[in-house]
Amino acid sequence: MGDAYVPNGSGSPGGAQAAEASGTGRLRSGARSTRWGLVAVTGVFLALTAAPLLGLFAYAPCSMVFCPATVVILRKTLALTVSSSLTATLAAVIVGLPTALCLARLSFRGRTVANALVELPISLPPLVLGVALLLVWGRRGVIGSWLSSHGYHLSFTFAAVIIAQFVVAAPFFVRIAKAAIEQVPVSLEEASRTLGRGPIGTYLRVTLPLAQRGILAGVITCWARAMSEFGATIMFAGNFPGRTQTVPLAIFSTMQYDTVTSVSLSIFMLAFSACTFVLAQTLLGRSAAR
Amino acid sequence: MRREWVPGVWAAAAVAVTLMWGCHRQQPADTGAEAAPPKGASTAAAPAKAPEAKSITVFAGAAAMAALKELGPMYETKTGIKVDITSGGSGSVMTQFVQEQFGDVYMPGSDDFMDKAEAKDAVLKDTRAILVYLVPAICISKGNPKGIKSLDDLARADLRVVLGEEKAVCLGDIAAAVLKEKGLAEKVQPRVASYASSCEDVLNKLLLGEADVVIGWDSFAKQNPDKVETIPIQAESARVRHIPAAVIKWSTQRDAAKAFIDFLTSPDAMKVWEARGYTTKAPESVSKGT
Repeated sequence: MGDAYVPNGSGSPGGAQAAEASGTGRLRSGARSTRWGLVAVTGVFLALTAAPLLGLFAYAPCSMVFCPATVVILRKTLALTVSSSLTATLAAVIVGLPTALCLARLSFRGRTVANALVELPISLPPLVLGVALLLVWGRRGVIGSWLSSHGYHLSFTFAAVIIAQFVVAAPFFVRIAKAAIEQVPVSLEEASRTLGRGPIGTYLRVTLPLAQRGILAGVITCWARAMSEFGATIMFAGNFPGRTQTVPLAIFSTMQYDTVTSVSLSIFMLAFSACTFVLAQTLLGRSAAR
Repeated sequence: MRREWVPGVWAAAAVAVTLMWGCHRQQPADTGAEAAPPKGASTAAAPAKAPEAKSITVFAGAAAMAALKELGPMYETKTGIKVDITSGGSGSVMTQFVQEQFGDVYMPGSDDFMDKAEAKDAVLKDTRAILVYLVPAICISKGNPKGIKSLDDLARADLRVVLGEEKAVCLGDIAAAVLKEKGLAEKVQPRVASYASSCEDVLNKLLLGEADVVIGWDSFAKQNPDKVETIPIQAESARVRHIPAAVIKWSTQRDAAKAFIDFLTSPDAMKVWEARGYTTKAPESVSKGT
C-alpha cells in the first residue's frame, strides 16, 4: 500500500509550502545541494516517462487531430469510450466504496487474502483479465453459458466493454479510496457513534466526507484507467467499430495501416488525459480548500 | 437514513440498465441453430443467392484491415447485410472465435494461421479462398539512405535489422529460411535489433526508424509509397504467401458467410485490394507456397 496515492487528508492544503515559507521545512534546513539533487532526479524521471510522449508531436503535427480521417474515427469511438468508462467508474464507486470501507475498517478472517485479491488485477496484464473474462462470461464460459441458454450474450458487446474496463480500473479506485479512509481518525468515528449515529450514518456523515478528497482522486484515476483500457477490452469485447471499439482500440487498428492517423488519435488521447488531470487537480484543490 | 441510500440505488439501477442495454439479446430468428446446415455439409457448392442474414461477423487479422474497412461498408451498400468486423492479432482472434464457437468468417493475416485453424477443425476447409498474395521482400526506407543492395548487406555492422519472430510470425519463418538458405543466418544474427511480434510490427519498426532494414512484404512499399521501398529477394525459400478467408465452422449462416467471401474475390473487390496496395495476382518469379 505504500506506493498508493495517499492524499494530504489530515494536513492543511499547501502545508508543505507554508512550512517551507516559515523556515521550518526540512528542505530549508537541509543543504541547498539536496534541493537541487531532488530537482535533478525529478528531471531525470520526467525525461524517462513524459518526454517520450513529445515524440508523438514530432511524428504527426497537432493539426492532424482535426484531419477528416481522425475526426471520422473519433466520432465513432469517443462517445462509446466516454459512456462505457463513466458507467464502469460509476459501478466501481457503487461496489468499490463499501469494499474500501470493509477492507479499511473491519477486521475479519480472510481480510489479508481479500486485500491481496483486490490488488491482484493491478499486477496482472489486462490481456490475462480479458482471457479470464472470456472464459467465465463468454458464450461457453462458466456463467456465460447459462446466460447464453437464456438468449443473452455478453462477449463482444458494449456491456463487455464496460465489464472489461470495470475489472481493470475498479481495483485502482478501491486501493486509493481505502488509503483515504484509513487516513480518517478512528476517534472521530467513535465520537459520532457515541453521539448516537449508527455505523452506516457514521460512515456516510463522517468517514466518507472526511475522505472525500482521496475518494475523488480514486474516481478520477479509475476513470482515466477505464478510458485507456486496451488488453481486456480487445480480448473480451472484441474490436468491432461502432459497437466495442474504444479510442485505444482504434489507435491499435489504425496503427496497422495508417500510422499518421494512429499517432493523431494518440495525441488526442494525450490531450484528453492532460485535461482530465488538470480537472482532477482543480477539483482536488477545491475539495481541500473546504 | 433511507434518503442517503437513494443516490446509490439510482446509480446502481443506471449501471444495471446500461449493462442490460449493452448486452446482446439474440432473437430466435437469428440464432440460426436450426438454419445451420448439417455438420460436414459442403457449402462450397451452395449458391450465394439472397442470404437472409442481417449481419455477418468477421474475425480478421490486422493485415487485411486496410482494404477490409472499405470492403465491409461496400458489401453492406450492395446487399444490405451489415458486416461486423473485429480485428487483432490473427492468433488472438482465432482464440476468440474458437473459445466462443461464434462468428461467420475468419480472415487471418497470412495462410499459416488458416492452416492452424484447419488443424483445429475450426473452419470449413472447402470454403477456403485466397484473397491476395504476400510477396517477401527486403524493405528499406525511401531513398535507400544506407545503400542496401542485397541480402548480403544485412550482415553489415552499421545496420540495424528487424525480423519477425520465428515460429510466431510467418515473416519470421520466411526470414529464417531465406537467411539459412543463403548461409547468412549466423552473420546477420548480431545485427538483429529486435524480433517483431507481428507482420505489422515489422513494418512499424521500419516506419518509426527502429530498423534500417527488415524482411517484410512487398505490400509494405505499396501501402507506404512515400516511406518504404523494396528490393526483391532471390531465394528459393522466399515463398509467396497469401491472405486467406474461410467460413467458421460454428457459423449459423454459412451461405451468407460464403457469399461475403465470394464478394471479397470479385473483380469489384479486387480493385479495392489493388488500390490499397495488396498484390492480387500471384507473381511468377518466385515459388508459390501453400
